[in-house]
Amino acid sequence: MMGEHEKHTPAAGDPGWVDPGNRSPGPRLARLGRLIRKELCEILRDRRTIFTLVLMPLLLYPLLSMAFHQFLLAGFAHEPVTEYRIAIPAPPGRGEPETAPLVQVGIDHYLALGNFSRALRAAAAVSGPAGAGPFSAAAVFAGWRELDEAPVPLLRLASASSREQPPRVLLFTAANLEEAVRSRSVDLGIRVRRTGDRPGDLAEDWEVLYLRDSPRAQEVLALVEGQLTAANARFLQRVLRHLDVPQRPSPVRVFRTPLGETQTADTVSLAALVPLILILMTITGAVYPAIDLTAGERERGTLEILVAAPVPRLALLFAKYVSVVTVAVLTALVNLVMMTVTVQLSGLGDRVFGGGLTALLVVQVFGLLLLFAAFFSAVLLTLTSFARSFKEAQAYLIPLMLVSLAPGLLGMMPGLELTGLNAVTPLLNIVLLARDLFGGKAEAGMAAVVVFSTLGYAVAALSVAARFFGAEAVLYSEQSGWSDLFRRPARPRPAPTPSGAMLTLAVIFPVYFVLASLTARAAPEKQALLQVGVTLLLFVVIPLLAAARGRVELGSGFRLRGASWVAFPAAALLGVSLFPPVYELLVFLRNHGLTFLGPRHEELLRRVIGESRTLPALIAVGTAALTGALEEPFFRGYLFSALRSVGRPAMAVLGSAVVFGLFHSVSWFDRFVPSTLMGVVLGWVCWRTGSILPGMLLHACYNALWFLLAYYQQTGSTGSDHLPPEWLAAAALGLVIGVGLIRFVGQDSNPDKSLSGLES
Amino acid sequence: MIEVHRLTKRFPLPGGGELVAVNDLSFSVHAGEVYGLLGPNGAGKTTTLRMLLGLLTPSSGQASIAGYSSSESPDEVKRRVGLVSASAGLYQGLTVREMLLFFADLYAVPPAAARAELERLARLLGVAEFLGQRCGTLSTGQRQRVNLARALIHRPPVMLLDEPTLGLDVLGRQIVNEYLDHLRLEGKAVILTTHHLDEAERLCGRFGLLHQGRLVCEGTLAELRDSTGCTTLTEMFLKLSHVGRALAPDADKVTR
Repeated sequence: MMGEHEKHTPAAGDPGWVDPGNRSPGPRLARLGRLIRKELCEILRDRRTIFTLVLMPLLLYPLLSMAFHQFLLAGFAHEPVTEYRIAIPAPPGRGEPETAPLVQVGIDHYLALGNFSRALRAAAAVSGPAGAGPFSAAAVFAGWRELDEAPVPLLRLASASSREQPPRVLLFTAANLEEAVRSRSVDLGIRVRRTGDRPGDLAEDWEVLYLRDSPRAQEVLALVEGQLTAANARFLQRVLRHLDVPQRPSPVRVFRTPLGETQTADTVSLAALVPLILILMTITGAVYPAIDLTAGERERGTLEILVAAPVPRLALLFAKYVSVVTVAVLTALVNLVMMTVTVQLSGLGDRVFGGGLTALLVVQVFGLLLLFAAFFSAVLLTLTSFARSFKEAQAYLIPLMLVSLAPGLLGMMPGLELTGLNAVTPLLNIVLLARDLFGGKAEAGMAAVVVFSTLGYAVAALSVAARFFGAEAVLYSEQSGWSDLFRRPARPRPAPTPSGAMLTLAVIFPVYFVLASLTARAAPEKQALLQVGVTLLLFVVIPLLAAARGRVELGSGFRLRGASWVAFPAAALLGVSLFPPVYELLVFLRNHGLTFLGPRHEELLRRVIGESRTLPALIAVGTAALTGALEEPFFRGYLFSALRSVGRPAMAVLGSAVVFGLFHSVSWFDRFVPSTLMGVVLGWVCWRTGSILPGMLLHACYNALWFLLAYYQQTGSTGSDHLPPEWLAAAALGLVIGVGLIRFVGQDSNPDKSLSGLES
Repeated sequence: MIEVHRLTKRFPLPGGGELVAVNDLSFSVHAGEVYGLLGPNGAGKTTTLRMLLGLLTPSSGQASIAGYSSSESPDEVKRRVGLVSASAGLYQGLTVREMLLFFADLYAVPPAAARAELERLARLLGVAEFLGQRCGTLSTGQRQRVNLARALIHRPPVMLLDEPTLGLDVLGRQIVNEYLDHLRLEGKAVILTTHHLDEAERLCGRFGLLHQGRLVCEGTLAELRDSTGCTTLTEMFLKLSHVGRALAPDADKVTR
């Protein structure tokens, strides 16, 4: 039986190629690369992948282009040329009475001169087909426009707005005028009766026959009446000229200026459709590999031998994730190229994208697709890792795809803005950002929120997938139950798992964004309390709940250890001394144009600082200090410990600092660089001292000093003036002493060495 | 080399209660020994192998390989084990060579050594002629031989063979059996589960007879004959299947 000695002392013997010493990151990364290559090799050899990757886009876009032409763009162009048919009675003795077909007559010459009446008379005199074909009303109007006082033809006004070409009028003779109109062979019948007493008098009555309920007949009637009014006016003008009367024939003229709906509204709704199509195609590209590489592998019996190898499950899953993202992005790329080619060839570019499809736009859309693919592939892998067979995975994915359509379609609504909750709603935020990009009104700050939140969701989804992938309950479904997946760990952990920390981060970020927006709207006297409450909830309560769920030991998981007493004054000194260099860095960035803070935001920031002056100084500054200190349990506690459990100290310091910087740049993007640097310092102090407590003091001092200056100075933190040189010199001295003391006393006792490695 | 100490695995049942798949199991296998873990379907053989490899977490007890605990150091255990299972599949889109080298890489075998081992195994197991073929095009016998080669590519000191000859024709079984002899000579510790009892009699040095998760008999064939009164493994197996409770009167499979 196995004794204690055997348990702890591995037996000698041929271990094969057991190479436990080979744990450096280089070979590990190289192996990860080979894992990815194998997955890609397998999936790209599959004909089903090739079908969705190449054949689908090749067929889809030409078909969609046709559909655009046929249906969607009908509202833009109407019909290219409208044709109106007018009939006059056939002269007696010509043609077969009553049953004679319509005969088209040529009257271009008269109509070209603008004399509709003469044209009709000439037409009436014509017998049989003239063979001259239809005449263009545009030519008629062109003739009229030569006269100064000619009324503006109504049809020309209309054509200026929505119709690109004026209608064509075809003139026919009909033996039975009433019958021709009733049978809709023509739109209008005109019967001209001379009423003048003397020969040569220009006096006629026109009887116009039309179908009462036909809108088309109404249009032709308006055309004819408009032209006759113009002809009458022209006649009157001549008479008046002849009598030397300076009055023009129409004292009052009416000009119609029809306006369509806002141009961008049409453009946006169509432009939002394009990313939606691309997103759907990306989904299509990712679905098959996601199923095949997880549930498919389980079904084929290769998953067991894969997890039986000494490779962390997270690494195996990550290789699969990269492969799925690659196929999804390749699909998106093929789609984007095909869409660009189709749009350019079919001339739809201007109509769909307003200013046309530029190279920059293509790059931006591709970036968004990459982001979307990163997010959606992770979500897909979560579901497919959960599934125990191909069919089960398909059953999970159909609802997901339908659910994904909803925010995509919502994004097409013109009234929806990329703000607040919308900016952190998965998928909807990407569609809205794509729409804003097309409209040329995307903001860098909001784009950052979209990118960061989406990446956060991707990481969270991947963390969940890592929990499912190759898990007992999935691998041996006949023996294990689903409850195994959600069971708390049997033993307490010294640190949270990276997947657990990422999941917590993915919960905190959107809640932070929404709550920060709500807090900003509250009254100034309530804001201080709300800020503390929100910070406490997000960075203390939620991580504590997560730790309780994952059985993470509070002392080591949150790094709530004691530290040497010297570390505290050193941390306070660092906190105070860090303010001048960070402030100068901001000034430097602003003076070099590296600012994302628009005048509107700057004004808002000044107002917020101004409003805070209504509070007593102690409360305002104390709140800032407290919120700073309360951020530490998450960033340098929970998150840092999780990162430290799988990586070197530098990775934990940098990783937690970047997340810290991103959080602080949500409301004010300029803060990213200084906040990240601040995060590096806090992370370093945490690592050196092994505790978050000195960092809490450092953060509190830093925030307090910053806010104190903003409170008493008009310029506040948005100022662009340099600090006095003596401040900078004092700060440099403080930094040197602070860093020296931390280095001296902050002996890293390396409590992290006991932490577990990658999840396997 | 392989130590199993009071290993137990319980699975919760949907309606409450639990199924005891492996019940207080203890045995050991030395280097150069082929151990036959035998029993009817559902006796707990595969569950035991999965716990040994760290793929299933034991409810209680411990398993270790070369001194490494399966639940505490699963990666160290996995490095030392080659698993052949009847249900194991192959990557359809990869060639045999690609698949074997891929697994060699998973076990951190240096590329040059992996290629040499690949050639050696290909010769020994008769897979040389289809090394360049995609796995999806192989016959059942060829697949199982590739699976064996895949499990051996990292030269593990321990082999877990879960019905390795299932579905194989006579020739295929002959190749696998010959290689098992070879493994013993190489000093590997092997656990073999099989329903081909004649093979087991010929190949295994010691046996453990499992019934309803419990080890009811253990020893060499001669020792088993003495304790059971049967002359062949088949007779013992049949007796075990029909009168399991007589052999293991205190076996309590389901507790509610």
